[in-house]
Amino acid sequence: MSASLKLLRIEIRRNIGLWLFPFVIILVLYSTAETLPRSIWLWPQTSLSIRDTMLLVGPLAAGLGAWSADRNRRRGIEELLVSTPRTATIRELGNWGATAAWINLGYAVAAVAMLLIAYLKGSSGTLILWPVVVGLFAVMASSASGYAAGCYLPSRITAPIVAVAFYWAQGIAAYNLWNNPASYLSPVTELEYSVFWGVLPDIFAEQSMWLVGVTGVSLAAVILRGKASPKAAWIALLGATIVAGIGAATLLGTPVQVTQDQKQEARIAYEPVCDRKGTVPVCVHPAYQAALPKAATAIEAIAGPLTDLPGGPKRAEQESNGEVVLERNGTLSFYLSDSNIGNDNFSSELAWALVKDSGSSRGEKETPLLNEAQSAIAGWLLQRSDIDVSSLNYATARGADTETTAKARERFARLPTDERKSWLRANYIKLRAGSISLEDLP
Amino acid sequence: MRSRLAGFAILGIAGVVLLGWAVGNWILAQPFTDAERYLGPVLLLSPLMIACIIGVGTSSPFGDAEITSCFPLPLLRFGHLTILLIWALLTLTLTTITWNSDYAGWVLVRNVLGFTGLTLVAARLIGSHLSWMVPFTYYAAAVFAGRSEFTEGSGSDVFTRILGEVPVGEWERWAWPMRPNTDYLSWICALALLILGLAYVSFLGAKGSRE
Repeated sequence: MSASLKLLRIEIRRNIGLWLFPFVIILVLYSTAETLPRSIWLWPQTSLSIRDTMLLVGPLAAGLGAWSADRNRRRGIEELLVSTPRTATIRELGNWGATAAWINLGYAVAAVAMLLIAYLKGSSGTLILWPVVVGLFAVMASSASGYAAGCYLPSRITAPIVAVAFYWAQGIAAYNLWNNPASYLSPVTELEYSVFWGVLPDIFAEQSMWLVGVTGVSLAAVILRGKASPKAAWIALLGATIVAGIGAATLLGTPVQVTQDQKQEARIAYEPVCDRKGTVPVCVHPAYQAALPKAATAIEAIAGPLTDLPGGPKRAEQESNGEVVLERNGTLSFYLSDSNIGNDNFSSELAWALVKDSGSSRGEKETPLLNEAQSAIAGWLLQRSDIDVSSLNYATARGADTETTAKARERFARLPTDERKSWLRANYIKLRAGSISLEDLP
Repeated sequence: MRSRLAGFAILGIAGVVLLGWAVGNWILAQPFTDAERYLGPVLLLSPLMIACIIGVGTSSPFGDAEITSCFPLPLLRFGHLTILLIWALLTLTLTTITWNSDYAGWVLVRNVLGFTGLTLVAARLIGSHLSWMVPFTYYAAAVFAGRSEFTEGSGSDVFTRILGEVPVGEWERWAWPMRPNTDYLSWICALALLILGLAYVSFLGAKGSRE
């Protein structure tokens, strides 16, 4: 055993992975940082972004595995090694183990560094680590499969072909098999994430089984290539095939759509942080605290004139389901993401929700459009906040900025404040219900 | 030439081109309104594979013995690489003519030139056996992180600071293989890499592989 460990130590010291170790760290760090938003750092998104670097690191590990497997042939020492007392199995496993260990170490160091950066940047909520761990299993599976390919097809072109093939297979499975559970077989499959419920579906156990199984099958195939095929290798092949098969079958049986019930079940408790400076208190998840001032300013600008109306907004609360709705109890639910904080689209969605009662249509795929009167008032809410009214165009059948709605909007804006307020007080609920027409506007 | 796997390279390049052509035809036959847009993987992976094939054939098994040859080696190396490049461009042009797409044809040509240049530079620096790693990693990193995605904070990396910002949703300038065929900077990058790689390997040869 000690001789085997010595051999592994030599392999680790002499392996190409040693030279690539810093390079893998830089690659993972740069790629992760480039794909993460800058203003808000979320644990689930950081974990998934680290895991997604498998799109680069996985094929690289596979190509290097194939290249390492061809080493003895390339050096012309295959026959010399046959004369050594140690079995080919020990040599092959040592060679593969060292290659996989260096790449895994590079990935792990970069992952820890990235998580540390996220922590220092103020990531809050619950740290979800399983996607990062799946990445470690993926490196092992990729390098083992590449190693097996290099053993069976020894050629200088095998390594690049294996790398490109892995890249292609992972990418196609993850991004082109929409609504197909086969995409879960790829370690970089797209998963839903949120600070409110983490990462769904939770396929850690299934993906781990699948990837460990693939590693086992590949290594057993490498051992079986030797002239003396030990019985243990056949047993290992059988066992690994069963593990991979169970993992794959479970993944293929996983529903592709994450339901609201699943999200509700996985909901992570939190204490919201609120901004009470304006007329509408605005509350968000602590992870979005950095975005709170901007969101509160945008909400106050749009919802401010409606707060003291019957049926008007009383408080605003961030929701995870992507819907922007004014509830009957006066809660304005809004959706916040790194790309929409305080922009025109964010404001136009608020204006839409404030003039349209979509209580009966919640959860429907097609959100009902605004009528002309609603469009004119929503346009007025945007206009008084210096926001381009055309950002509301998608909300109406004929666009928000038609000549008639623009005229009504301008007329409404020119009304004395008291007159406008009393009209809104008398008609706001009817306006939201859709029973006010353009002619009814003052 | 045989020691540099020239015959294998010619067949390999033809195989990659045919595979890319078949996949491209399949994509263009799909009922999308803008099927040309989905040609991306073909326009990137075919040139990448061609560059890898050319790259792994740059070293000679004769080592120092080759230096004693009376034939000028830079000429031999340059001739070998140029023939393979011309063969790749010729086969690509002949097959993509059927696509009726100026965009695809020019992008393929640019990417073959650029990726080959990058592979040749890598062959000189780290050896021909591992030369595939540099263009592959560059390509994968560019696809992964090369798109300008966010309104806030985008363009804060060092490359973007040097090359300038691009509108949200477009490929950053450093990701030149993904840029449109009309982007002159991408052509400058590709041609500069090709000239550097060709000159480097022609005059100095590829580095012997190392463990």
